[in-house]
Amino acid sequence: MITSVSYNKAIIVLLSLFFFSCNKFLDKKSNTALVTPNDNLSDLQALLDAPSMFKNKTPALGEVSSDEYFLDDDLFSSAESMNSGSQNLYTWRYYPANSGGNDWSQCYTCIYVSNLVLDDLNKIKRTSSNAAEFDQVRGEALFYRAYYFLELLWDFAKAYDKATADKDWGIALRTTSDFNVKSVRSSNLEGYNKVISDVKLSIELLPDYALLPTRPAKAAAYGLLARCYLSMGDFQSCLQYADSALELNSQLIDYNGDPDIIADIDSKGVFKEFNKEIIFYSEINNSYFLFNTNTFSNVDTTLYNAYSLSDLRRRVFFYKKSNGYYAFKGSYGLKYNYYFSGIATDELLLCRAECYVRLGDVDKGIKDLNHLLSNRYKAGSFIPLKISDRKDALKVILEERQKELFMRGLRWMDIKRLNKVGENIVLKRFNEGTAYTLMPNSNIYALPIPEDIIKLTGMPQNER
Amino acid sequence: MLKPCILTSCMLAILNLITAQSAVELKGVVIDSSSLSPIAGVEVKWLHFPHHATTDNNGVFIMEGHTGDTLLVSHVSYQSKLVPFTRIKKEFMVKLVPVNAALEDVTINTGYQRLKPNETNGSFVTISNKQLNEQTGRNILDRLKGITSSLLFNVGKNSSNPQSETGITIRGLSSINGPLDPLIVIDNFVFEGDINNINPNDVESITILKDAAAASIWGARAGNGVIVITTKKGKFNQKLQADFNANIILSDKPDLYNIKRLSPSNYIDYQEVLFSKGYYNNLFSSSRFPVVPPAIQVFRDAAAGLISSSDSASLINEMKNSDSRDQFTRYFYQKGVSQQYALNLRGGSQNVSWLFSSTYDKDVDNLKASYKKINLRFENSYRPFKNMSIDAGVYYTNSKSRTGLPSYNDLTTVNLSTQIPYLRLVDKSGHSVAVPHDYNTRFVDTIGNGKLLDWNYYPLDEYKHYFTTSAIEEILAHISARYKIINGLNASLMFQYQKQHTETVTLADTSSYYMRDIINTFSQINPGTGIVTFGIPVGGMLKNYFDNSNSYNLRGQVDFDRLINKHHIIALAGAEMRDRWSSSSGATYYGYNADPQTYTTNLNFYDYFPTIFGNSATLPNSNNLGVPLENRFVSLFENASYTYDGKYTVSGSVRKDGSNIFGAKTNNKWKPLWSTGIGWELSKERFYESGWLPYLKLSATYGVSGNVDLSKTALPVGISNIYAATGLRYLSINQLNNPELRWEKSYQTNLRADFALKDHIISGSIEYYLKKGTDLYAPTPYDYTTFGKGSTITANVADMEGKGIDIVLNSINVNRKLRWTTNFLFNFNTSKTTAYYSQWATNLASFIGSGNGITPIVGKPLYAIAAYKWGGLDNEGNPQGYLNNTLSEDYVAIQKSSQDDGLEGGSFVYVGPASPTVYGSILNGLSYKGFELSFNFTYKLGYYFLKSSLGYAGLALYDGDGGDYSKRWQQAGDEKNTDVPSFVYPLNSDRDAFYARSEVNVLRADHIRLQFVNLSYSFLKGRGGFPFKNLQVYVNAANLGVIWRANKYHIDPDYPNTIPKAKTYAIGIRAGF
Repeated sequence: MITSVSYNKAIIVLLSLFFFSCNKFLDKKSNTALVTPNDNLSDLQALLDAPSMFKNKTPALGEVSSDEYFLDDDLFSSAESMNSGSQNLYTWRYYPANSGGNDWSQCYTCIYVSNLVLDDLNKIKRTSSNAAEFDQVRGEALFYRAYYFLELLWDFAKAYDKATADKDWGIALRTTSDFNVKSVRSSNLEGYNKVISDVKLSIELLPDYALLPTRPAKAAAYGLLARCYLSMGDFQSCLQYADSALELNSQLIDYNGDPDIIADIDSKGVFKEFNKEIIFYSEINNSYFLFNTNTFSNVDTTLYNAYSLSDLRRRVFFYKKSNGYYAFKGSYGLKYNYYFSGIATDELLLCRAECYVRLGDVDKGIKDLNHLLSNRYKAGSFIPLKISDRKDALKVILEERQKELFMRGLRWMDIKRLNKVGENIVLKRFNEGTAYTLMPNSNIYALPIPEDIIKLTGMPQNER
Repeated sequence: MLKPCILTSCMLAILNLITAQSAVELKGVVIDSSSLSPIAGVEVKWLHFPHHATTDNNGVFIMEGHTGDTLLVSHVSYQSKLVPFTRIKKEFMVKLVPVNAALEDVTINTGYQRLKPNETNGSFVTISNKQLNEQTGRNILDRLKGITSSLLFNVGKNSSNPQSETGITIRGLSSINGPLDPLIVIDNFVFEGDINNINPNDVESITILKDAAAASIWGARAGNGVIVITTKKGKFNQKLQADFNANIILSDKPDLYNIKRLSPSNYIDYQEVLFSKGYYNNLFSSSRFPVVPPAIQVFRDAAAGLISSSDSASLINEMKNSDSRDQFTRYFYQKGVSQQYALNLRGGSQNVSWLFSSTYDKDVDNLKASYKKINLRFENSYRPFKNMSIDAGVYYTNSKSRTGLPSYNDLTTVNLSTQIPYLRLVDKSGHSVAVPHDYNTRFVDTIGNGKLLDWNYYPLDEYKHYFTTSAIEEILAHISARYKIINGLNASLMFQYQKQHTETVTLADTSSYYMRDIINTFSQINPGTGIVTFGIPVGGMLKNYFDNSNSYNLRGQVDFDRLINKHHIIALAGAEMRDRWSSSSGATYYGYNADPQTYTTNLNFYDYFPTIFGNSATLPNSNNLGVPLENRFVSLFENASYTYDGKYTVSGSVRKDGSNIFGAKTNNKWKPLWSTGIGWELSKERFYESGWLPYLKLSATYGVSGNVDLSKTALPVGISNIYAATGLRYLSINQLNNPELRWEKSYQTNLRADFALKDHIISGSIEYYLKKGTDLYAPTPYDYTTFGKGSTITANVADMEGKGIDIVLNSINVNRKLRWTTNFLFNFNTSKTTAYYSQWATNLASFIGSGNGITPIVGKPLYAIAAYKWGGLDNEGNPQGYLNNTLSEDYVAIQKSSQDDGLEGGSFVYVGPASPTVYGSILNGLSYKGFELSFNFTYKLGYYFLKSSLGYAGLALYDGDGGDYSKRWQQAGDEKNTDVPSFVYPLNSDRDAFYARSEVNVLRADHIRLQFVNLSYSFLKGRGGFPFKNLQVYVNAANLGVIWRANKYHIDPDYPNTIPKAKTYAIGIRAGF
């Protein structure tokens, strides 16, 4: 009996040894390029450094729906043959659910990664030795999430209106990487509040400067708040944060000649990669071809003609195509036909100028504008503007804003917010004998959420 | 163990008796090879001398002896045997093998144990060496065609599934998106090399494990069934034996006219109509300078007045009279020749046995592609001392292949994929002619002003200058030790190592079109000086790709087999681990020259370079360092059966598998799988008295096996990389993790009856099975707000069900001097999706099309076809469909309605399965003296296929018309006689698509084909200097084509619009020394 007992013991010991070694044997990674990022900060930073966090990401449907380009009848009909539904898209009638690559999915890809990073940070202990890195990763994740929340609000929600913001539909504010948590639509107010609180939190965590503009630093967070408040019509706060950002970086490229201009200004690819005006780098989703003047459409002729002959942007931004119309080559993107939509010093300067004027300080506003334009006009030809009337000043600043921030993914938001304060911008298309008009403050300004998402989640769709 | 001993001593006693008799006479005893009991009534006769005898009740016969002659020993229930009588030996024993070997004498090798059929309840098929030799060719799996119950070769079914390489299904599908290949086992271990490396001459037999009870011992990867290949081994106490096998297989040139196409004359007329309407204008304005078909160029030149109308007429006339198929058949295709030589030596002493085999294969196919292979194999068994045996062996394969000429279907232009049917490829003096390939001929001729390299493509010569060779080297080595602890209890330890190295090299020399094209593309001509600069050095190219894989397996196992009174217990238990590692790399070298070897070292593959077309591109390269992959598996297994009184058997198995699925939690890595079964040999019961049905066994099994796809993950998995623009390392997550992800399960119930009629006139088995797949992987639409990428995720959301009947009947029709046997295989199999979590997958309209892809729709088979409802042609030749149950010609609306409204919308109909539901074969064997003739008919029934048809838009660039063009509607009234729509302009691709996928083009696919005919003659060992132990010559013909089909268009449903496999003829010799 004794022997059988010890046999059993021996067997149990052997079996447990076997299992132990098996589990060890099975812990070997099946593919060395794979990582399960859950326990170290450098992997989490690597998740945020992925090009998919900023390339082809910010919404394009707003740009498609705006007034910076046009299609003549030939392009209008060939747009339809390239992709059915394109004519409807161009004339604000119907937005096809282009699942995979649509604005909704592109933004939520980045939001998922941010949430995954934030979830995984909970598993890592913040110590004195990793505090700086820990805070930076957390700050970046919060920034990225807020950045895309705001972009989604501009695309899919109505313009912010203090009076109705708590009732207007916003977007799905996802704050977890767990896909079992149901998506629900919050109000517009909750959306903007979430953006503001997250970015404010990130300011505390982010460093003053980062290695590259693809990694958000403090200036990027200030800039994002300035953008957010501008779209809400809170000019005081916008001014404050635009100013804070510009304190950290206010460099401008002199279009007359600058280390960041690396080619002849008439050629394509004028700017250095990640030039000094860029505070945060992102690109517009390239899944919609309609607004791409390099491959398809034409720059709006009225807008092109608005640039004066001594304005260097005329040459830096545009080139004449074989059809006699113009295409845009002045993007700050990594290539001239990658449409930059990130935060840059020129944008913040224009934000600050607008806010100064709106808040009554016309001189300061015009000073900012003159500073910008002196870097844009041919040396010697620029005469600083002298405007004292608040209304005139605002008009010039808004015109320059449209000229400077051409195809930056901001125009749709600008039209929405300006119509809220009575600018009365009416959008018109005229094709194949039919005129299409988009009236100010129309429901259509809140673009439709992809239909498959509505079906799967039961979230309310925007009214038409 | 006791019974055979008693029998043997009886035998010896009988033999003693015989010896005591007169020396003039020869005495023998005939016994059953498995039961060892004497057989009465056996006829024994000399081949040349007239004497004959019959055995008595003790199996004994007495007759006159004749040295040098051969005895023919035959009995109706046993396989006849020839016994050479070389020297005077007065007494001897003859063992006869029962006719129905499958019931009595076959060994089933499961890869874990060897069993007799009556020792198991599982469902198996064993294919003997003889059956495997009835077909020729170098792929062992192909030899299973037509002779194996429940096995189906899926022809023409495309699958993007990387784990669907064999194209074989056993008892239908058991997974939708998971792996579809059966598990292939060689001897003891899973084989993951190239199946072509296995030399069919080294194979002794193949066992197919069909049901869960049989397969579940293989665990998580056995859900699709298991194919166990058993190789030949040496035997102890065997004299040196040599076998030689040589054969030559010839394959015909394929019949290119089998593809239904327009004649060049009709085709050019059609293109002329389109040209006159301006259809081809864009060809001349495109900045990519696409190929302009020569006839269209002539029309254009004539229209522009560049050539006279008489010149254009004669040019066109010449094209109309030239059909590339003639030239292809004459200059490109040749008869394929495949040669195989195999030598096999074996022998053994009391303690050592060995086997050495070598094979040499040499193929040159119809298009001059070549293949050479050498196999060397050495096997050794050694008994160092009592109770211990050691086996070791090495298998080495080395093969080389090289690409040949383009096939008729491959010769298309690059930009538009047009096929020009009237091209002249060889001129009257037999020289190769340039044909349009990538660019407009005029562009190619003029762009460089003669400064660039010749930019023409010569299809007949290109393969000499641009080709790919592929060399595979594989070593498979194993060693195992087996120790008998006590009687009936053995322990063994087995180890196997496998290494495969593949090197693929693509070479292009300066004369190749491939190189000339790249060099010209990256050239710049200075307009001032006229000097040409080349972005890629003028020279050749070498592109290589290496692929390495290693694996090792280790298994420890204890076997128990003991008969105690009436209790027979067979059991095994063991553990196994397996590690497989693979890696790959590739590189491209330009300016390459082989001898003396030179190449350019400093090419920049990163930046964009200007091209002669005015845009820019990177230099093409294949530089790549693959990520090493390593998969590990651990398994514990146990299998036992208990038989009482030889009548009742219960059996069961349990297995637990683990693998290093990346991202899985450890407790999900382990998965228990099990099976159980019962069996009852009814005919052994005392109450069972059936004169006509002496053998009957019933068995039932139930069990679960699995499927695992290692690419699916439960935790988020990031792929590491470096982004050039930022220079930073990053991780990207491309697949949403699913923590709920489980392995697929396949439950199978099997009911089986084995039977044999009196004297084995008819014997066989009938099986009914039910397969249930649950937790199957499927892409499922999900709220991508949660993740962003893609609109579906993989989840265990699908269920499916399969059921079927397998019938095997073997009959002996005539058994005299002439012997005629028939094997009849019948399989019925249906499978359907029973659950699929997707609101879009319920749409039957997804079946509209060819039916060649797996489409899961609840209640329907995985391969099926639906078609637009056909309303005939109207009086203008327009095809009509149905929209809201009324005739309609709004093809876009019909398409939309079928998608949106489903079957209720009435615009389409569900036709039926697109994969055979009934299939099998009838194999007849005839033997007379030394001659043996066998021929095999295979049949596939109960399914549909989509015929190719005429599409006017497609016809603009490709001349395939499905045989429709001549039948098209041309004038009012034609609609009564034809279903082929009229020509309309502008071309309407929606109209074409509607017609192509309408009911009229879906046909019954049922057909019967003659799979092979095999004839052999065995020389009997005669007198004098005949050096062979046996000598056989054989001829074989295969791929003989369809002999009956349900469709009236003469289409082979397995190859509806491709060149069918060419007929092959083999001649060979087998000799033993």
